[in-house]
Amino acid sequence: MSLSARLVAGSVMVLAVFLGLTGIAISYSVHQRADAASQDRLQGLVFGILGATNVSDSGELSVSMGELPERTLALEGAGLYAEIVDSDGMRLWRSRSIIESVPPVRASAIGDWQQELVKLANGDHARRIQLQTVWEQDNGAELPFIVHVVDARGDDVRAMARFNRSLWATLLGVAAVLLVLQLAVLRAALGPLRKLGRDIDAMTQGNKEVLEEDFPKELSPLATSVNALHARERGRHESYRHLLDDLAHNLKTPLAILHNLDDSTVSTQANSMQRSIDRYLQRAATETTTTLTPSVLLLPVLERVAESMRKLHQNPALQFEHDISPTAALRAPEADVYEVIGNLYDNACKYGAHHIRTRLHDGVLSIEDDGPGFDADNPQDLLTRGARADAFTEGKGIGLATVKQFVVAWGGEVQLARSDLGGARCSLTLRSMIG
Amino acid sequence: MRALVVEDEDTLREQIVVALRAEGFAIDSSGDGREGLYLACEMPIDVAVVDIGLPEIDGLQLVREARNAGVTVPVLLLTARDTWQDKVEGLEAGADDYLAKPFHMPELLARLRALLRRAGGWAEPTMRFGELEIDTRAQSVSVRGEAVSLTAYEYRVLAYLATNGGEVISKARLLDHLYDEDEMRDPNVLEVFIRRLRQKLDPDKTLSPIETLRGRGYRLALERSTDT
Repeated sequence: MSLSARLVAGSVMVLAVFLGLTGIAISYSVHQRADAASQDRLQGLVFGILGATNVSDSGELSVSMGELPERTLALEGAGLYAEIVDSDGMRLWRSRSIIESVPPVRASAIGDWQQELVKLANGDHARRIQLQTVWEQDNGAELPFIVHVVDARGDDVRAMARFNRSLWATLLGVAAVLLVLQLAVLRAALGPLRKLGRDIDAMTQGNKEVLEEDFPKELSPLATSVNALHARERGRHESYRHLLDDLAHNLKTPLAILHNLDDSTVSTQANSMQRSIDRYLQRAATETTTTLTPSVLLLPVLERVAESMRKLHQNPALQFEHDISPTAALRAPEADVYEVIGNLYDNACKYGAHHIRTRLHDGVLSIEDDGPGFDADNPQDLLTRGARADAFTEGKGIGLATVKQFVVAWGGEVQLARSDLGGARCSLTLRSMIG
Repeated sequence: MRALVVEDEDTLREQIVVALRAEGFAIDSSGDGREGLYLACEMPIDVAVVDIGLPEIDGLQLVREARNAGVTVPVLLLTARDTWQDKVEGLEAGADDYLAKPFHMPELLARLRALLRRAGGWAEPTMRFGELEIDTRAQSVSVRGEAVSLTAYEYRVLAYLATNGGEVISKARLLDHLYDEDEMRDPNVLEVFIRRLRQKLDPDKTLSPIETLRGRGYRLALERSTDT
């Protein structure tokens, strides 16, 4: 799972939990306050009914409709219903706004308020509040009764539902805005990481030699370390190469002396030592190719080698044609690129070519000439005849073997064929190496 | 011909000097780059053999500075680092050819002969002037197809005049290019060689191959017959 996906998933989860809990807390709190307000209102209504109640000397209870605090009690089907019953449950009075099937009240202690949600016949719920009280008459007689009010209008419930819908819609909107902001912040915060990734890719493809170190301070040590590691690795690679070169240099001068002594045994041994040195130098060069190799522009190499060939072979008719973009680059050590081009051009010139054409098309670098071409019926055999360079005879084969060793080490392949120029064509497939 | 040999390994330098002297070259030699550069600029050399790895200044720098100073003689670089990148750098510095160490002396001599030939505008190893033929590989001379036996000094005089075919060569220049510094350089001896050469090449006095320009020097008077 990518770092971005993890951070986005984490942010979404935190946001959902936070806003969910916030919504629940707000809803609960508002509900509580709405309940309390409703209770207060119904209690006020009960007190209002008691205020409009009168008990005659004969003990008959009556309620003056005109003094009732809530006009809706006088309207049928208004949803607000009040009733007064005696302690045996016998109705003493009820409002005109009848509600069917209100469950009977239960007796309780004098002065007790009871509040509950009751289920009506139509399945709706209504809020009921009741007060058990006693009317003390002038003659000292007491009339115990219960006043209860049922509010089936559902105003509170609808208001709460509206509030809840509005609350969650708002929270969802806030969540969406916060999520977009969070993504923008994440994108900005992860930008340097993405740039680091791109820069490292460019390094591995040879398009960049070092990482810039203008990263945020958290990433800057990483970039510095990668650069140091890369420099150390390249330095070590270069150092090995130079040490090998120096060793070869120091051995080859004494070998040149031994070669020219009048002693055939010494000369034979010197030849054998020279072949070993050349073979192992070649292997060291092809087997120590580094991953983070910078790219080499091909055209300057081709032109420099071509110019050297004109000088070496002193052939004024020698014509080099380079059909290649000036920006085409090969991801390989520069010295190795010179070795491959040098060997191929030198082969062509040695064998009498006058026109050498080099083209790069679809990742294949082809070098063709108008020389005599390959003697063999199947030129590819020149490359498959033995896998070691020393298995080749001196001359064309050794140069091609060297070319093959380098190209194979780069992950490419070599094809030999006849060119339409009349001579040899050597095609190097270098798709993964061309930058 | 006069050759400069700059090689820091004494034994190898001595081997090259001995082989070149045997081939008829007058020699200037040095073991370090700075002295080699001085000799290249000051001595009348015809060709130089320069090792790349030299003390003081390296072979590439030597060639570069010598070219900047106007030295145009062919230069053969000796190199133990025989990669193509090194070769390209050597040739761009002003060298004309390279030879990777270790090498066989005959190859070095063949390369030098080829360089000298090319510098004189000859593509083939045989220089032809009408009926006179000089084979630079075999160091042999023939007139009308008949071999002419020459001493080493006589051959050197003829080869030098032929390589600079048509050009008037002063006695002093001939002596410079034929003799080492420490050898006897008597102009009278040179006159003797020229007289003997004329007798051997033109016994019946019909060819007149060498012309004497009084007070100025000698010139090969035959028309060059091979195009390059």
